[in-house]
Amino acid sequence: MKESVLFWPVRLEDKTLYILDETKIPEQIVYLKVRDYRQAVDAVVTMKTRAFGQFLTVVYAFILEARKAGRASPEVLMLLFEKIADAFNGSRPTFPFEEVTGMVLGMARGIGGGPHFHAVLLRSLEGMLDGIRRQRYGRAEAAARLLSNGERVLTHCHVSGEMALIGAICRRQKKRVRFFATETRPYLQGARLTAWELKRAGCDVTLIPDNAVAKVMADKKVSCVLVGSDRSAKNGDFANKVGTYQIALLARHFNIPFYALVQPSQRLASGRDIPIEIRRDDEILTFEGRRLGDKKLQAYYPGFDVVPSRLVTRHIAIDPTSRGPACEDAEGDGRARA
Amino acid sequence: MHVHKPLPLVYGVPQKSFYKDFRPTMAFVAELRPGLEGTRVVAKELLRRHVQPVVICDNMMAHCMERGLVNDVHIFYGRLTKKKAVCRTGSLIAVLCALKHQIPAHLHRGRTGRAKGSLLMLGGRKVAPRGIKTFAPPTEDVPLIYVDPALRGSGRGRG
Repeated sequence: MKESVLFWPVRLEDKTLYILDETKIPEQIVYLKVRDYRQAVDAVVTMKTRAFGQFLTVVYAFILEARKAGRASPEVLMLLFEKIADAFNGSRPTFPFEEVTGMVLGMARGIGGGPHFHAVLLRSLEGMLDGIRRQRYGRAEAAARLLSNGERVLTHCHVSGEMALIGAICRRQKKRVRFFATETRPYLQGARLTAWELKRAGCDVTLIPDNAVAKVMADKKVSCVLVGSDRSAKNGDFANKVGTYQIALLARHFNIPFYALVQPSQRLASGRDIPIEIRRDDEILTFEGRRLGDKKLQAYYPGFDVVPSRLVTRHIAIDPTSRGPACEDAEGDGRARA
Repeated sequence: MHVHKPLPLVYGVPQKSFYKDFRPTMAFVAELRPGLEGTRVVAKELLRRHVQPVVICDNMMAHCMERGLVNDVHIFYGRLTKKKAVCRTGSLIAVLCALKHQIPAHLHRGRTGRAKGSLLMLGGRKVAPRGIKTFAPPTEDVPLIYVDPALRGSGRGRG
């Protein structure tokens, strides 16, 4: 099955990191060449990469710096790793950078020192990424199993290539699934990324404005909602691109199942503990340098919102302790309750 | 910007008469894709009347309500029957989310003409892949059971 370029948007070749510039899609497929961790942090801050791309950028930035460090002692490398972790942890608030950098630091500390420190560390990190790739395939398989022939799926924002994979799996299983993608203002990830990759994967996809969600639900044009997530809490609440909470409320109102692709985490007790990033006004009030309204306007741009677990019909989880597919049933029967 | 106190939310395009009684110091204005009449028309009218508009995207309404940042919701109909109001698409979201958060939703006469603008464009730039199917209905029905009868036609904003 051919992967969307957005499924694994970062790759490392020798001592250069290639990060897919998601802001250039659909016009161009362009990779940023990144040669140190500071440039990698910049790609995150400027949202050239996002969601799973952020995760890959962090892990690959550690691998890149480890490769560049060559024969540096484990102690020197650990100091550098701590600097890298600090830089990513301070980059954006909502994505759980501390968890990712903490995982890498923990792995490096676990190896200790020794003459083979570099080799063991690099092998461990690369092995972890291989495992994650398999887990994401497993999660896509689990999501596809939930979709019936004739399903009409509403999705929001973008799930880093996984929605196109789910569509492709359904096609392979001879299931006809139709997608509705919200455009996802202000960055339009739904229009630029999700609709684009679903179309490229040969799926039937219709783009709708964010404000048409209740309309398509009321008219029974959609039969379920399937979204990704940026961060989860212990109680099953999760944060995703702003607009997801609104869709979850409406799905519950119209008795439509709401499925979420999640990465479980034990670090935060509930969604209330997830910090919400407030971004700059001009990200709403301008587009590609053009002003969309009067200069005196102000704007409020929360980058994410939190969906309480009670609104989720089923969490489709990546299980970091296993290498196989995982599907965790949150409410038993898998259908929404009114 | 950060918002620290509750504001009224305007979703749709009001008639001029609405603004006479709408005198908060600030108000949320939903941008209204695809034509962005919220950002362009409604916000301008509010500025002229010294009400500071705070633009939000149409997908941010529920989050603002959940955070306690919205104290009133105002939607606008083009046509009214005994059971429903025909409003700008997205009004049903505004009303249902207001209901879930126990925020009063006010219904006023407004303008719901054919929405200008294309979902494929933003600010004169192409934003979606070539040949993609779109569905952007200009209006939707809002059942009147979701709007308190006392709030049909009222609308003095607070904030």
